[in-house]
Amino acid sequence: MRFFFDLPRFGQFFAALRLADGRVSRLRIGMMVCGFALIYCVIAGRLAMLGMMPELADKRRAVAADSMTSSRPDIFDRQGRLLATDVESTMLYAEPNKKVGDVDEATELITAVLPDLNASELRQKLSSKKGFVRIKREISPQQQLELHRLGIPHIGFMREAKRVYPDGNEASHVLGHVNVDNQGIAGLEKWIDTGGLADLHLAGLASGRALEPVNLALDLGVQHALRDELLMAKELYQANSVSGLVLNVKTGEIFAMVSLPDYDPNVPAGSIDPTRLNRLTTGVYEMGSTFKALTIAMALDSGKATLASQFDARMPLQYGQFTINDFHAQHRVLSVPEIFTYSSNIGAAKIALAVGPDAQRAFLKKTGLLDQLKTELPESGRPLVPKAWGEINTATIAFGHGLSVAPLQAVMATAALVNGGLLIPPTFLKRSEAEAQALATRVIKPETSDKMRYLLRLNVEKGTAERAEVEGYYVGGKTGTSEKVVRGHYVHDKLLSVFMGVFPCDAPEYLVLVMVDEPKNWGDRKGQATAGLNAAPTTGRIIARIAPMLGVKPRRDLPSADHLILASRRIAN
Amino acid sequence: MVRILNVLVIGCLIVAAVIVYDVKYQSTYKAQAVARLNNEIRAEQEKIALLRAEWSRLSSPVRIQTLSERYLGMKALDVSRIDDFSALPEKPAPVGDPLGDLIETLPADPRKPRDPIRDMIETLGAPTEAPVTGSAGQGP
Repeated sequence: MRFFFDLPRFGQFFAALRLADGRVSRLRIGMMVCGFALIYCVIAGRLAMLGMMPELADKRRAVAADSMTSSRPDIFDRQGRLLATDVESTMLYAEPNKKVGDVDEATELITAVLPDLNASELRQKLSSKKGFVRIKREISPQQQLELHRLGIPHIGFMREAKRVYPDGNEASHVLGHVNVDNQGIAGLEKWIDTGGLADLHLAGLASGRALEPVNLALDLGVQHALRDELLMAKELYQANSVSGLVLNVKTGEIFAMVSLPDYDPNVPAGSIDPTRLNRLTTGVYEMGSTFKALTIAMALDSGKATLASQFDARMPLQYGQFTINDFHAQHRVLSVPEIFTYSSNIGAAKIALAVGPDAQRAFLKKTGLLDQLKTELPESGRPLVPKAWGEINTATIAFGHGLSVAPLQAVMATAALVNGGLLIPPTFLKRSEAEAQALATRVIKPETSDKMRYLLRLNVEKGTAERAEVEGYYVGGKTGTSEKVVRGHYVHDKLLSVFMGVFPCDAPEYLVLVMVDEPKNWGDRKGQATAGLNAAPTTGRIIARIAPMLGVKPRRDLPSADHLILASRRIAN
Repeated sequence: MVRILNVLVIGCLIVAAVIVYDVKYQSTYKAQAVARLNNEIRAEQEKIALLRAEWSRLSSPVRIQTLSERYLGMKALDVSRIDDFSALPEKPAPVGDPLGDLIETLPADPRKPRDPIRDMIETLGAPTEAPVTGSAGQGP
């Protein structure tokens, strides 16, 4: 191919053509054909290469802009029922910096289609110099069409996701809610955002429906039953607030959590009212006598007391001007089971004093009651722990006064007493038993846990919690009534009634907490708004309703707790 | 030879042009179809999301309970009504049919009164088999 670059030779080539020497010219034409064929082959090859290349990036961007902004993952309950989802809505916006034209005319036209819009506000928005102003969210397809036909320059429509909670109030405190920009600002919605979704939004990637759904431990059926019973209880006892929780003691999964009054997350403005806060995680309370279970478990586990130990409860304990007295006073020497079933403050205080302040503090630290509890919910109350921990603190904390904890913490600790001694951090997400075992820490021996189960059962058979009994489910539990502190003083007529119910008590599966805040309807037993009369029967009704849903079979051949306590005492001693 | 080649190449050119034209229009058409389908899919997904939300709202336990309380008059299942098959008692022995037994003992034709003596004579008088003697059956 030298003739391409060699001009003298090039001349010779044409000369050769002119010579019409058939042999030479045919050879040269053949070479030309080959050359062009080669060039075409290269072009064809390049085309094939381009065709095989993946789609270009700018095309993908065009698709993303087409889909919705700021989507959130769907939330399902443990049985796959939808709790929260996004639906599409259309938003009207304007770009005033691009000259809307006649502002007055545009305002008039828009308000004609959207009559509930404030005209002067709209005029102000349109005459601003901003690049983007939102005129109205959630306009109907009909309105969109009409506005489109008006042909106003530089207004547009944008599809955006709107969060919908089909069950309304049912699980408001668990789910939380979102703000107008579809960002989670409370409850699990906020947790979803802190889990990286907010960053995805910033990067403009979280749009469309490709987000992995969130599966909760919550069971909507149980949640509804709990809420329904608590609503009735709130009405019946005329309480300020009633809250309740159902926990699986083996996995730490929260099957239901209700705090009344609640709000509708579809209309999140209601959540601002401070009476509607979630009392189970945000509030801290003195849990009253339910702490006696912890005190006795601590003493039994340390070996400082056995079920047969006797404690003198004849005289009130005197600390300066402070007297520890019994509500159901027996004025005699009581055994440990008796202290539990009569809910003797003096007895519990003496048991705790036998163990000592340091050991008590260490035990409560171990059961997670002195530190802020971390769950998926961003709202979490910090326990109010006494600064100096003397004998008097030990004595009062033994029966649940002088230490305020979030009720969910107390539930976690009580679950550890009955599930074989493992402290499992509670969760709102689905979790298997093996995963829970990996997270668990041992706080008491399995034998101590056995004894606690039967003490709790005994308390329902013949103690302060008789009204919590549900035939066939072997319920055990502990009542707790504490006076509330108003301006630094305990007030006798403002009570907090708590009940921790466990079922079935021979092999506990679920724990039910019911908390009645300031019950006012004292009925015929005036002056007695103790937990045994309100929180305990409410728990019984809840268990009767949820146990069949949870697949717990009623059994009618169970021995009495007394029998089992005697048996376990023989083994222990 | 060159002329034939030229004609052939021009023919190929025309064919190629027609094919390219067709392919281009096909691809434009397909791209539009893809865009349209994508839009339809998205719209369907939105509708599905809306319907799912609607279904969840309609099947919400609160709503179902309100409706059932208003229209059904049902009540919550009592725990005492739940039990195992093993707790069921054994199936009792059949009681029998005393009246039927009585009827069976009655004569077939009630107009013909029962006559036990004649029945006896009839059975005696009917020689069914050869009479059996005491020696029968003994071998020689």
